[in-house]
Amino acid sequence: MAGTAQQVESSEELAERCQDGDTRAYATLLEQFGPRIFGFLLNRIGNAHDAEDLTQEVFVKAYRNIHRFDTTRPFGPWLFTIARRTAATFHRRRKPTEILAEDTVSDEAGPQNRAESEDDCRRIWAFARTLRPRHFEVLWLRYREDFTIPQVAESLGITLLNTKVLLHRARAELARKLEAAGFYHSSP
Amino acid sequence: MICFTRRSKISSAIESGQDLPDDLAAHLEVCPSCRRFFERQRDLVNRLRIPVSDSAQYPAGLTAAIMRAIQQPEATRTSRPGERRRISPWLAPLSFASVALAAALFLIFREPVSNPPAVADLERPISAEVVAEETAPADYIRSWSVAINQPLDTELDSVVADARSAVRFLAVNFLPDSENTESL
Repeated sequence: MAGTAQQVESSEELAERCQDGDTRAYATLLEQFGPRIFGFLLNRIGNAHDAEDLTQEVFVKAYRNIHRFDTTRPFGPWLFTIARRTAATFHRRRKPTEILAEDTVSDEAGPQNRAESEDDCRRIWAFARTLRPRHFEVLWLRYREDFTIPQVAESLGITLLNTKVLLHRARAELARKLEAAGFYHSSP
Repeated sequence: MICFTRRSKISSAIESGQDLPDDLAAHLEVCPSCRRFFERQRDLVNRLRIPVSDSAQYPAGLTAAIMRAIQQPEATRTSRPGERRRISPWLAPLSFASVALAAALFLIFREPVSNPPAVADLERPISAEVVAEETAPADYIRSWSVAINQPLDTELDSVVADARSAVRFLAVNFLPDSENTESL
């Protein structure tokens, strides 16, 4: 059947083909993960130009080290580990020069804005960016990337218990910041 | 159980999407602070899970640029501003110092070049004069002896005496049977 031949390959299968030197498979992985890695780095770094450069750096690093990837494990956490470390290295090298023009944190939370669910979410993520990098990363990987707790743990290189504790602390800290900014002020 | 501990359990329950255990649900009825924590955390998790499109679009030419970059050999890959490699400003001076140090050590400790003896010389019996000459102190030791204005024999005697007294000290203080040290 043609339908079965056209089955969508998993990221791990594509990565396995990359290990055999198939660059087209890597192009497919790039299509799948490029916007996700760019989005993560954009929020982590706060600058679109740097995020673009770092996205390229991440994918070049991943390609050059694809032979180290264990194809029995999920590809996403492995790639995000590279992205996270690349972002950390970038932060050590240079301070962010500008913050995202949109989604900047504002203490003014008008009721009309909160009526828009997506706007609320944007504002919450804008506050999340002000958390410690580790807290932001655990929230992003868990909720934006929808990783499981074991996947988050693998990506962050920490234990399951540590991941749960980190997640709890990150959410609690975020809730405190939102409350301090009056986000819940007129919530029902 | 204190509220701090309960909140950790509340957080776990929200995370796993399970209903609160009965004891925690009962606690929320009597603790407004924990109830507010529960409601806000649940609301926060729900909002965090809502997909949000990023404000900045994925750059159009980025995929092509990445594919070009990975197809270039590593050595010839053009660096972009974000991926430039920094060379330490100390690298050049340290390299020069290392080379200079190695050269100096080589000059100081190198052995004088001597031709290997011929096989016939090795088979010839060695005379007593040659043995005495080979076992005698080298010329540079004699020259040091002259330089410090002390006869070589005197210097050697004092070194032996120092060594002997050191051994005696160790034997007297650290060996269990100090009577054996008398011969020293």
